[in-house]
Amino acid sequence: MSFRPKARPKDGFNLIELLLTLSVLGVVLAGLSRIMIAENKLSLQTSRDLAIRDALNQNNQLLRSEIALSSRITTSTAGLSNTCNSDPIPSVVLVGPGDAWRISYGIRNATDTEKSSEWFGPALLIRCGKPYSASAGGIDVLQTETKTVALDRLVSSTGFSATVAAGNYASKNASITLNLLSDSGKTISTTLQAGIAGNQLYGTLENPTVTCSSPSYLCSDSTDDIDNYRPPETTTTITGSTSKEVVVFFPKKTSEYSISSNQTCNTSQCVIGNVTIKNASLLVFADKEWRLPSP
Amino acid sequence: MSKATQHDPSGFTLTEVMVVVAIMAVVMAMTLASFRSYLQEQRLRLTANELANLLGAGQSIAAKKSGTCKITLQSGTGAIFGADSSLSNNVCTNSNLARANLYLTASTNLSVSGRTTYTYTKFGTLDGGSSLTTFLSSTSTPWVWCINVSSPTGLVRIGTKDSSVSNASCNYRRG
Repeated sequence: MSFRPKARPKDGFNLIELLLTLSVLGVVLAGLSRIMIAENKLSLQTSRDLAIRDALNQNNQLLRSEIALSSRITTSTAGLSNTCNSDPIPSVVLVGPGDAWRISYGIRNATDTEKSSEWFGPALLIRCGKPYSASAGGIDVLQTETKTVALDRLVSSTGFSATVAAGNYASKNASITLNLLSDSGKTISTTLQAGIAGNQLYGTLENPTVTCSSPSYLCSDSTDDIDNYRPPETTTTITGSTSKEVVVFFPKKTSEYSISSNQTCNTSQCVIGNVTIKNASLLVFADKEWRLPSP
Repeated sequence: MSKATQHDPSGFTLTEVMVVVAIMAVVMAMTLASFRSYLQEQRLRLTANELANLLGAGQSIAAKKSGTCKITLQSGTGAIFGADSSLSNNVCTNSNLARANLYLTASTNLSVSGRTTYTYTKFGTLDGGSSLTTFLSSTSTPWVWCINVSSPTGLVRIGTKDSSVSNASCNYRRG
């Protein structure tokens, strides 16, 4: 007996067949769309996570350059410095050479207004300090301090921790940890270990307990072996002792002083800007130390 | 057995075809209008992303070359992005930026408003004490795209706002 397929009606599919096909198609399409939605969500989440990492890297880059520009780092429990005191949050404070500027970073929970549109919670990293300007070539000390949000999405209670080597004015040894919360609930962490200042002696300038008064500008932290001097920028002559190590501190970088290329700088005499130095052994600038040769 | 349920073996009548075509035309017109708006929104999204990338490129060039980078956005000339040639010591030029023009040109009804110049310092930080925002909009969609650069970090965020809502602020969650 040969097999003969069941003959179909000539006028097409019946209602049952159509409904069955539609429901199978519906199930398949529903499954596919769920996969596509999940894929889309994952891709969006990944790109947002990458954006968070980018923001964190960018912020770290700024922190690094500001730490490099600063002469010391300290902490404050009183709140963000100067004009930002209305935000009473504990902060880490970067202090510029000669106290020319202060930049504070602190963390607090985002307000409801901030969370409703502008910023992601739960917490924000707030920066308070003088802004940068292209005309000033960096931090513009003539401008007033402004408060800005440096980073959002910080984990609230453990989002920020800063430890600073207390009482050591010659050191920038600070550890700043930031913990950010990704869209997928992961914590993205980074710890910024600020290096010890390249110029260990430079920190002496920043010690508020040390005085270096006129007319000699000999500093009060001088010892039996070392005399420290901190001259003003006006025309001055410093005459050190030939029997001691004489260290003269300048608050700026070497490039910011006019140093005549015609002169021969040695322990006998050297002219830096308006300051004439006699019998000095070591000149300390913001960027480097300069040990003078014998004449 | 009823005859009405049986198909005419000779095919569809003219009236049937016309009714089907008319229904299809109405549905397609409705779909096309919303598709056009969707397409425009996607183009705005692309442009916003490109603008964000290019601002980021300007920032890194300023930091890398340790100079000032000034970027000017123009509207209505076809090119809406470019380095500012009026600044003599500008380390950003159209050739060293990733691309000279953005994805969209003025012919697609793109409108640029808000901040149109960005200056980065040699540290890669934004000049000035406040964050800056550029708005990209189009006549075919109510959504305005906001590209915000924070000060001084130079962090670029993308968001949107509904132009049909008065005084709406940008929502950076949607970008």
